[in-house]
Amino acid sequence: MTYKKSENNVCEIFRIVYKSGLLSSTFIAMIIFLTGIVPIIQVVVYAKFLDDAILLISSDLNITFMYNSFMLIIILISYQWISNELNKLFCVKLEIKIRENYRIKIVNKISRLEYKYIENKETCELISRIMQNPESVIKNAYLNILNIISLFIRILGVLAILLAQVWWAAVLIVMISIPLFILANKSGKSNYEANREATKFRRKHEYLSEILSNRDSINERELFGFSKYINQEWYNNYEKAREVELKTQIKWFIKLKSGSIITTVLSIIIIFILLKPVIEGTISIGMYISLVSAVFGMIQIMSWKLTWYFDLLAKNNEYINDTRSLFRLASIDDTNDERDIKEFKFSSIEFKNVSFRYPNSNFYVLKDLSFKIEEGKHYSFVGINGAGKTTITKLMTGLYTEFEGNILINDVSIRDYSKESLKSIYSIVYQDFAKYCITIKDNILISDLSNTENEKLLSEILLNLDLNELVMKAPSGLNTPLGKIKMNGIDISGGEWQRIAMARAMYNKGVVRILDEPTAALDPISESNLYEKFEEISKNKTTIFISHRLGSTRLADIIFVLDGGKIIESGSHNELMILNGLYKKMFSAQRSWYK
Amino acid sequence: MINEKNSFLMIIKKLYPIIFRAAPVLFILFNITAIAHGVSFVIITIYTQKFFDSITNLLAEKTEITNVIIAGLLLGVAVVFSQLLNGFHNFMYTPVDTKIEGKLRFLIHQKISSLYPISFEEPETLDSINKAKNGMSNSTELVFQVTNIFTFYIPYCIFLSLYLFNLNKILAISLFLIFIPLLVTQFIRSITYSKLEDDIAPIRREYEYYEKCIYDKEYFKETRLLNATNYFISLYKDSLILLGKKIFRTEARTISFELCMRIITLLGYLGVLILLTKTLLAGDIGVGAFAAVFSSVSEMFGMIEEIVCRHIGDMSKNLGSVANFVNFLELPEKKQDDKLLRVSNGIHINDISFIYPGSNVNAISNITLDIKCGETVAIVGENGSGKTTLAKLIIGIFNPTIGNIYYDDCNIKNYSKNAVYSSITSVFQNYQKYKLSLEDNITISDLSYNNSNCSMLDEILKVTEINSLNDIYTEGLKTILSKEFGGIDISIGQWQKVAIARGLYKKHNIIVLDEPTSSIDPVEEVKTYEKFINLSKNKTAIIITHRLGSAKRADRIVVLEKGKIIEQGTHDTLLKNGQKYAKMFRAQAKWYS
Repeated sequence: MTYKKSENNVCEIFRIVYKSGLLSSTFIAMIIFLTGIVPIIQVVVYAKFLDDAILLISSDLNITFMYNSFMLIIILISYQWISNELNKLFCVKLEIKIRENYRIKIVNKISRLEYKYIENKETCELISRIMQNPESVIKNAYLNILNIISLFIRILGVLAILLAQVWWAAVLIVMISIPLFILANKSGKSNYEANREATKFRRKHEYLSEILSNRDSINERELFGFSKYINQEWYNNYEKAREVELKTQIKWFIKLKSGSIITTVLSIIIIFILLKPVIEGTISIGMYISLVSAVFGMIQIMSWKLTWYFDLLAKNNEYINDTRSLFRLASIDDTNDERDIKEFKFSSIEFKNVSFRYPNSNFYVLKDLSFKIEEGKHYSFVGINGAGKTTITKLMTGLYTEFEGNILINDVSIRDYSKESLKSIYSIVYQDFAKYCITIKDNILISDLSNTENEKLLSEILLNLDLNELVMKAPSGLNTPLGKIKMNGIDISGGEWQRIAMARAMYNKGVVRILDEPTAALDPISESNLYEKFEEISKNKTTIFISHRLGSTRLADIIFVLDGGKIIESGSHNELMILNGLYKKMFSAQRSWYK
Repeated sequence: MINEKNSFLMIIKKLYPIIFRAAPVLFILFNITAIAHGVSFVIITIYTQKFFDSITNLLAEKTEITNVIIAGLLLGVAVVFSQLLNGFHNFMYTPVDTKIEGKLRFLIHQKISSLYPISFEEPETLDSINKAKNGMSNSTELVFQVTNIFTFYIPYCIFLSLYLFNLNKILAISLFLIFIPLLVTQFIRSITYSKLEDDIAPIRREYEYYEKCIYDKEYFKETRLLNATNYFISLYKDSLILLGKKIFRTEARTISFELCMRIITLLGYLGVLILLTKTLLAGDIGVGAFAAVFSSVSEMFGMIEEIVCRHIGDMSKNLGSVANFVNFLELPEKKQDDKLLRVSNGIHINDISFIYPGSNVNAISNITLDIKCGETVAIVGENGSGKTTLAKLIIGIFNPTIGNIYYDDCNIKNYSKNAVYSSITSVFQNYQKYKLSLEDNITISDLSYNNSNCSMLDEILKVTEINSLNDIYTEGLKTILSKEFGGIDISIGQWQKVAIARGLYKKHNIIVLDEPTSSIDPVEEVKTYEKFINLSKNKTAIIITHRLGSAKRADRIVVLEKGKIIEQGTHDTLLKNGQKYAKMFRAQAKWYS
């Protein structure tokens, strides 16, 4: 079962590599296969060279007689060196090709994953494992497989020569190599298991190390002075992980080394056995010496390289399995239906008895939630942290689709809309809006890439949000990159970023504007300004405000108060105050500061 | 390129004692094995010669079969022995390396804790911590590689050259000459690579950033909703292609240069072969020696190539990162002693200014402030007005750039950090959520109590209302606050209580509360501040907030703007003054009128 799986993975590696760079990977394969054949030829050539040299002593031939042998040896050596260099070059090329094809393919896949996976810890870990230098992992996996094949060619070749000389010696060697091969294959797996056992301690010590070194905890580390104590804890956990690993390593080593010692001893016995035909004259002395050197060389390789290759094979298997599970994850369909979007006229969003829990959680964030949002009105969702406010926007925008109940947009189920057309309904400013390190202009236009020529709209937005001053002082105006990724990028303040994010939302054609807790990090005056500005620029638009601060709710036509995943109160500010429920309690608590 | 401080020898000189001290016994054992391993190769060469000679002699009927068998047995024993040493030598590396790594990481942690906290404001420090961690894992490798050259390769080469020198003097010398091109190549290679690395670093940063824009949690949601994935993928592709071009160009150049050098080496090799045959013909060496030399020449070629191409190549690649590790361990450390500094009268801040490293704007300018013991002082101001910075200066985490801070009459500059911290505690804005037990989460703030101070702990649990939640903390104080480590996840509100408990547990007579309420709901927020003000009655307390109302009940309110104190007084006086404070208060209040 497992064997079959690894075979498939081998095919997979070949498929990826040949798809990425057919030419370079074929050359590499040829060179490495030949590398396996060369030592076989070497045995014959060296034997001839030695025999010639011996003949030369015992006869009165001239040294010119040796030139042929010299030539052969030089050709062999120069082939090895040149092919080695060429191989290096092709490997570089192949790695580049894999980067340009396969890596982009992976990124493409990740970018189209369903949203739930991005918030899932396991998937995140999977992605970070896969994205650690995929090009060099795949290239090395490919080389590893070729090397194993090449090694077998070499072993078979030497065996074939032995077979021609003394057949039963060859049979003996085969009988030794097979158990060794099985042992090597096993060790990879047992190492992997030990790894899992040590993981528990490793995760703990890695976490402690983080406390000891990250920037976030510097204040407490400093003031409370716990470094010494935590460092000792860290060391204890580290040592525990190390001891577990060491035990399995020793076991593995003993198993492996006893196998290779047996091979060595048997090889030596064969060398003795071969003495007989040498004395009888059926094998020339040159051939004998050359064979002995080849056998010794092979022992060397088989004792470490073979094991090493198989260990790598097991590791690469894990990697390929990881990529398989990535590609198995569901991704969203990317069909563009522009027509659908252009004719769209928004009238309402309605939640009907919606219940929702996040994947892998038993806790319902939303329970039997119903409300309706109509065109042109301002709405506000309030509620304490964890009441499900942000979850509502995630469902509305189609990031999550596994909810119970029904969400209707213009009286049509949200499930009947394509992701594309859903996206085009909204423009959102998130609390943690993205600060893209691209040009100022692209930062704004990125919200509507199908419409990048609307200079009038752009300048109107810049004016509206007082961004002209920023553009003036930036060295290349609108085309100045922000952030420190590009060499000529500039850093701007948090407030300026916020306005860029607002500009981005305004450039978007989305008819429903959502402001998701934008004020958490703002001081009172900026907060107050933001509310007013937003009201001003959103006239006649449908807006949804999400906040746990209550002041902003005064701008809303309708306030929904969320508690325990349900709407417990709804109405205008005045209505809710009269209702004398949770809203009034929260509002009074906050107002008490200002009395 | 490599300055004096980072020269190879300097680094090795500093690194050796560190590595050696980490595991002295294993280190010595490992190197003895290496020497024995090297010697075993030479022994094999000599025995191979003897064995081959005895066979040729046997064929020429100059010797008995028993001699051949003895020679063969000796060779066999040598080979098995060498195999064992080889296995042991190769195997030992990982355990020794892990053992040493533990000690080195311990050193790094120790070093981090003794850095000045201000250095964490500099991106270079954070960078250098990461680089030091990388460098640390390479440094054991570097030391062993260097040692290996001396304990394995050099003994092997010396023994072998002595052996060759014995056979033929010119042979030994000419063998070494042909390795010179290899050395030259390697030297050029390491220069080109470090240049290439400088060249592609910005491109790498760029494509890694685009990758982040495409799928990192921070950007994913927005990039997808904006439909901008393809935009970033095309930027990503462009930078990957540019990267590929640059790498290939450099590699192609180096490799073709290497190829030329190889041809020179090849000619030398041919010369050695001819020389060897001539020596054989002249009768200076026997067939056995000829064959042994012949096979060991290619082995030596392989080995020297291994040293030059792999080890020296790796070493020069590692050197930079190892230098980071060594230099990190030499960063300046703060003073440490066991003195205490108690505050009984008050804190006197005398005309201080503060500039963050790498900035040219004063974060704090010319602040003078007296805080009497027993007073509750609120510091309010907009974001970026310097509130948190001022708090860190008062606590002593940062030192003022200009001016002095006195606890009673003692200038805190003249005391070690430990002494300064001994009378002050704080609940920080970015309080930590340790994935440890509930007890550790609280008692971590003061480890000077023996076996955690139980009565103190009980008192605090009561005040912070943590003890009323036995149904959450299923295993009481031992409950681990993290699902990842087999415990439970608690809410933000609970974390906040734990953080306050942590702050209170530390022995103190001054407490600083830095806006820990920004993410809880209004009802809880009101409660927290009220409770806190009650708790700190008759104690010196400094409350930092931008929620103006919460400061209303403080004895004194200090209003900060752009790092300066613009107003101070009680809530009522400030409102009457009608300045900034009043303006901010009204901006906020109008939403609640």
